[in-house]
Amino acid sequence: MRPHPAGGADADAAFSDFFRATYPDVLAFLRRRVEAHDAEDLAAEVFAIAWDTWDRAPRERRPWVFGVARNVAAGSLRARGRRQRLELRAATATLPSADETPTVGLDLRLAWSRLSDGDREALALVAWDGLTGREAAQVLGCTRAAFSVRLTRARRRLRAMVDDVDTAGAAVPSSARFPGTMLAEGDRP
Amino acid sequence: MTRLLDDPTLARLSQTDPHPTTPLSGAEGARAEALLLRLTTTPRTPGRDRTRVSTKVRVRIAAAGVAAVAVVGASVLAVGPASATDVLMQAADGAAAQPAATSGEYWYVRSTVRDGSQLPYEREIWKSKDETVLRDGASAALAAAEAGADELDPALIRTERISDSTEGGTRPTTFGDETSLTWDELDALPTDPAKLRKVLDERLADYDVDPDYKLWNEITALLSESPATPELRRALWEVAATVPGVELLGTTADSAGHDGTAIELDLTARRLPRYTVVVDPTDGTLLESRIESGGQQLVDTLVDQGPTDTVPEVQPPLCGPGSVPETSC
Repeated sequence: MRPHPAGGADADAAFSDFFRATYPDVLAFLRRRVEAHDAEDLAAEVFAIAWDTWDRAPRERRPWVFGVARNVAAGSLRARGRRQRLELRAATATLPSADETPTVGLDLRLAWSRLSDGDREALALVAWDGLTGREAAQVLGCTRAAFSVRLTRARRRLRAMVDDVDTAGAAVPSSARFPGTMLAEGDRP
Repeated sequence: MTRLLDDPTLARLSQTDPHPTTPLSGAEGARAEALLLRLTTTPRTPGRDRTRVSTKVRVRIAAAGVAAVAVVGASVLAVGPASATDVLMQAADGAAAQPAATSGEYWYVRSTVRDGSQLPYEREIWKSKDETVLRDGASAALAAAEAGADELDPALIRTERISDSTEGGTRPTTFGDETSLTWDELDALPTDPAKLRKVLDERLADYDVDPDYKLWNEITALLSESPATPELRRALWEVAATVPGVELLGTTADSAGHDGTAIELDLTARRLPRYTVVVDPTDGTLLESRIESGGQQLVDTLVDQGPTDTVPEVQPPLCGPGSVPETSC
């Protein structure tokens, strides 16, 4: 009897390289979508699936593994009866100092909260997960053209809602409008 | 960065990433590397149940994480593919995590032996501090080979007491290959790998053969057929990881079909055997030992082991009452 390496030395080395290159990104992807303490377990599940199906993986493996991660996250959320957690970075409890990096404003937060899950997903894949349009389309299982339409619409809706919030919030005192956020007025586009 | 972020709305949104990708911390990196090690030393099983995968992997992380931190350190994602040392250190950690035996007068081991051209046979051994009882088919397999038979004669498979007799009774049972450790001496072995190595070297000093050969032999003997505690098994695997020339062959299954990882020590260049062990890194069990020498292969596959208080009734030696086993027959 001879040992049977799981896919040959070359395949194993390629998987190891791929794992090391993408694991931090996949972990962050999951942390954006599930409870942070579940992310490592789910990342392990993602890469176990990747290992098992490595021989059948498409040539472009980065969007493929994000697609696996998306499905794993969705399955976990379904199992717990929860919705996806695509939320903006949490606001801090302190007002900004002059040298702090601005993060997120109430306008953007409110606008984001009004977006559908589908719009958030399309935006997050590009803005947070750093995927190209082509990669994001593969993650979602649609054509690049379809994703482009979806992203464009989501972006327009977000911009419109930001403008809407901006206008509506003009009468709100600044201390109330930016409770604990680190955004300076001048940071807005 | 994608050009889509040239859009001001998306660019601004990108600044609100709730969990930006950051370099892994030392602990995260160690756990990641442990996961990678476990995955790449496990046979692929396409289509397996996802829930089961998840649970299994979680256990893997928990079991392997601490060892990986100790072995690989903070810059783990810079190291290469799994090595024999990685697997042996993982086996050490897995062994230490097993529950210790809390009762049982005897240590029982059941294995299957495949010895060259003979028929396979079962071997069962019960060892207490002062008694060894053996039931195996070695004699039956030899007789079958000589007669050209294709099955073992059950009448030749005996349950016999093989304890050494002395004037005052029997010699204490011993464990190991050449160290001949009593049960109490085994319990007293240090569990620090450096100290254990020193003790083993001292016990083997008078055994004038290749040092790697005798150390490897001793470690595998103690791991395969002794009541070593989980902590001692950890130390034994850790010492095994220091033997020069151990090589990782890859994932495999033992002759009983249990998944494991094969590690080889090839001493044929020194006119000594080629050793292969199949270990389950998750719990440190030595599943199978293979010894190849002169074109022959001896394979010993673990079936069961553990403490017990009962032994089967001993049969009289084959040569009749009053004869001395292995001497008169």
